[in-house]
Amino acid sequence: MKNEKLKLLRNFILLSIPLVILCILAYLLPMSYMTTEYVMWDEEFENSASPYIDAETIIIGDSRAKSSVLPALLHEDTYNIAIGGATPIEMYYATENYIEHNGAPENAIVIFAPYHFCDIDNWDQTLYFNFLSIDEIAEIYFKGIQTGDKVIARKGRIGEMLSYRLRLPSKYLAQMYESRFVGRKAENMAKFDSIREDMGYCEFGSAAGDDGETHEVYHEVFDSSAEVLYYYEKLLELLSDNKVNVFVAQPPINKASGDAIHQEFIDGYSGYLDYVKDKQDYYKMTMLTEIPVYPNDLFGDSIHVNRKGAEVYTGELREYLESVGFWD
Amino acid sequence: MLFNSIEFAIFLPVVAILYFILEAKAESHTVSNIWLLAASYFYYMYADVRYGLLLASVTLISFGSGYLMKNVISEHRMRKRIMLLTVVLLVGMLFFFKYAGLLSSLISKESSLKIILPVGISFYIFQSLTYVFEIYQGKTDTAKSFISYAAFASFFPVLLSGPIEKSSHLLPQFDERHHFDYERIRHGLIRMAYGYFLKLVLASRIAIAVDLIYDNYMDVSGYQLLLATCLYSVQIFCDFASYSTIAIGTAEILGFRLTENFTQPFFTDSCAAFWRHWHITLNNWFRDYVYIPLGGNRKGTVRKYLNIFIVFTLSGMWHGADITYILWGMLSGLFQIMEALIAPLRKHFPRWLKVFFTFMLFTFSMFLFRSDDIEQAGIIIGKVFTQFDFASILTTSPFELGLGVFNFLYLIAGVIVLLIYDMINERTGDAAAYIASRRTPVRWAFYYLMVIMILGSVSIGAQQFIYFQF
Repeated sequence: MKNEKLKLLRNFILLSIPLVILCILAYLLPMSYMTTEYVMWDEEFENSASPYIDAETIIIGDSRAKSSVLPALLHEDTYNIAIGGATPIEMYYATENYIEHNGAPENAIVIFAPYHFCDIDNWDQTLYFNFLSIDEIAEIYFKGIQTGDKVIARKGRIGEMLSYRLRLPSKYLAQMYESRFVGRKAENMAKFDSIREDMGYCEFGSAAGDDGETHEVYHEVFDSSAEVLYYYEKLLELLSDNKVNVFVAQPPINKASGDAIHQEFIDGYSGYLDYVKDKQDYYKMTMLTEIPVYPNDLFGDSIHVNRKGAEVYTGELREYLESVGFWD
Repeated sequence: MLFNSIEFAIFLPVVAILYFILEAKAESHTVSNIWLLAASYFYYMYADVRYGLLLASVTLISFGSGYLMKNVISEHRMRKRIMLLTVVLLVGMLFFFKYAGLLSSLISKESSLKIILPVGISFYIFQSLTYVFEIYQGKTDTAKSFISYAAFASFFPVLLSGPIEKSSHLLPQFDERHHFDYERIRHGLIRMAYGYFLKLVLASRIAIAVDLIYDNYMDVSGYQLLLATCLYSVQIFCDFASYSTIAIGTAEILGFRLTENFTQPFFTDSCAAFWRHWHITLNNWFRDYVYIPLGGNRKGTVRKYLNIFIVFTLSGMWHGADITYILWGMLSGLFQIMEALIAPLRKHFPRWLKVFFTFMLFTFSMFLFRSDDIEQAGIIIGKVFTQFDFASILTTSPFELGLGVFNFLYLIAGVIVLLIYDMINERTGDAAAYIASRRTPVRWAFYYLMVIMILGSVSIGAQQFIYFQF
């Protein structure tokens, strides 16, 4: 009987070999098979885990922050650590890790798209990229249960989180096939170098204009996610606790979206930011709540400014920050 | 919890290992039944905690009814009343969850009831009813304990999509000890692997092509719709047979023998034979508890045909609260009646032609089964007959069915494996046992073939099993 049990175990192990090989490949070669979206997460992951940057000023935020601010044009010793697809949830942990490994910066500019306070639309991507540690994911999950979040704490999430963590083929094999396992390495490495060269800036849309409407237009009211707000406030507290001079800015939207956005949504959003500002005494914090509206031709897609738009936005931001003595 | 989920991959080994430990160490067999019962409720309530209450109610009602009929009341008329009352209660529950939403929406669209159909309810209510019927008919004894009955009524491998087991077959197995048995577990694992193969390699891939054509049914030719529906016939077989096969393999690992639910239905040469090989346990249920009590074939030819029609109409209703399912059931009954009427003519047909006709008639009924509503079914059937577009037979590339070259070739390889496995099954009666008895290199070649083909398919948008909705 004992021999039979061992035989079953042995056979099970032997049959698991192809599965284990695939999981190991998925774990070891993400830059070789994942799409370029992964590159900025990888870059950020490396930034957070090693004292590579140690910048005086960092940009924190989502894809709009990533694509709107050119650090080289803003101020010396500035690095854009924003991540496309991130919400304040991921950026809280990214900033925490950054501070742990690089030390606290003197200044931080925080920029999130207003709709990211409402929709957690990229959570599967965050899990897919394995950006967060198990402890961090567990913390977010339990907070999601508390806040009743339907994305983070939805049914079957634990199994999914485990599948991503174990790099199971059910989650990764499709992209591995598509890339023929290593076919994206050169492209991804080039992208990685370009992000580093641009001090963390990354272009999302490269068109010479776009008149499509952005996500905010589809929200009639500021129907925020309790989980995101919790992490947004936690992020500001983290910066304040580390004596970081914080400036909260708003990313631009195109004219088409500016014309269509609901006033009630804008009122709700700025009302929330006012509440956050007055909520407690931060170390140093300046906040702009007005959402800038730029001409359509400065947009590379309906959501993000193109490089020309980034230059305009960065220029205006620099002028404003200089006028209020942000760097002093 | 889906069979094709990571949760189940953890759940099953934990349940099996502890079950064998309890079977080996615990003095009373009840302890292992309690463990199975707890595991089954966890499995069911993992989808929604409230479902547990419903399952417990069904268990209590059917057990109580059986107890009263066997131990308390001896008068036949009273026993019949209790049996009928139980049927009304349990079928009423099923009817409520399946039809109340539809009926209320017919009365008032604004205030229609939003009732969630608890997954598996049609299956476990029918399985519990077998206990009531068999006690009433005196075919089985009452369960030795409430625990073993509750474990039978909620047995997780069959809970969500069958096979619908008769109490006289499955219930006594809960009073047997099941120890670790390498040969049996290996056999169960081979069956499970084949079940996963059917679902992931075949059903999930075919679904891509079928969904693509059905989602664009207004823009494609009648030929393409017919092709998609033929593929859907194969898809639904692979999907449902996979669930049954995994369930049978899972139960076998634990030491339980379940009834076969599919035995090569596409090799049959008549509709009547087809239904004896397709969803066998449901069709047996209707045969034993509806068709035979209605008189079966004992009351003349006309009455026999009427009984067939009633049984298949009820089978359609069992599938869902939609007119398409009811019409599908009626049509399936009508095909059998027509087939019986032309029997003298049919016997001159070669067997291959009869097999082909059987498949095509089943496929025709699938137009109703697959369509979202009667209007869509009407349009699709209309297009097949009026806009067939023979030229599109030559112009439609199989690689344009949403699968691409790689997945299409993968699917073809899968179909070849399916045919070989089914032919072995047809010849030996048990392909898994045949494979297990081969020499090591052949056996291991099959194991690795399964592992590699399944692994190569796990990222093909694994879907829920089709029969979960019923």
